[in-house]
Amino acid sequence: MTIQKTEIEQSKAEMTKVARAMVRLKHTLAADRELNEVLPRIEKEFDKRVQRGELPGAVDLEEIIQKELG
Amino acid sequence: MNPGRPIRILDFDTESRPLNYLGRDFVYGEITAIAWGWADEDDVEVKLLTKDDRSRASMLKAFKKVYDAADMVTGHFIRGHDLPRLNGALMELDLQPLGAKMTCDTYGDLVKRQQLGVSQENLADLLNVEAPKVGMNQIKWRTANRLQRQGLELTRLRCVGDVIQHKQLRLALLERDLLNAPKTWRPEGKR
Repeated sequence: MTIQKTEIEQSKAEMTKVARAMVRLKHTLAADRELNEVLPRIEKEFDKRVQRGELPGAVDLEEIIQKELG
Repeated sequence: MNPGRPIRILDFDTESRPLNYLGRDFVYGEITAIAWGWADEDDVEVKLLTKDDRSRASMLKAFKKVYDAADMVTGHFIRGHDLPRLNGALMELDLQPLGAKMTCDTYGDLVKRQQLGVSQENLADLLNVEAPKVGMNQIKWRTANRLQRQGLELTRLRCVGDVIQHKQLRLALLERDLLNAPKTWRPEGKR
């Protein structure tokens, strides 16, 4: 048996759905901004090590990654 | 993938001679020498095209072997010049072409610039690279390209000299942060 939501319940559900989406978007945008700042520096360090003749893995770059992430 | 392992970087250069006209003054060339050396070693090897017909295949096969063993290859304008030409030469002899490889091209990966000549010779001079460019004039090139004995020696000196100079140039560019990230050269697609 399908339970029909009242108009008030529908309105409340819609509002919470929008709120969830907005909060998620806010954090996604903040994460994108941080990644845009951090990733080029990490990639540059990776390239530097490759040019020196090393194949770095995430473990080798952990220090710089941690530093970048604060 | 094995993170932490050393990467082998092969520095190389080729020399060519004109071979046939395509139309008007446009000339197709033929590789007359390939020199190479590992970036972390001083030795430079060279293979030359001689009047012996077998020298062409043996030169290309010897290079292909070290190319395959390298993780990355480096040189000046190699993505636009040497690598496609090497594949053309390999194809002509029905040999397996070069595969995809990470490349550090000190011409192609150089930071954007204007009003500055960026030949290997100019850059080496600009950055006070010690190793000299081995100079050639028209007479020397003609002797070299006719594969005469004294000409072969000129080609050898020129090609080896370019690799020695390029090893130092690459380090000088890296030291000054003048190179963008290395790029993979892929034989798929046009040219």
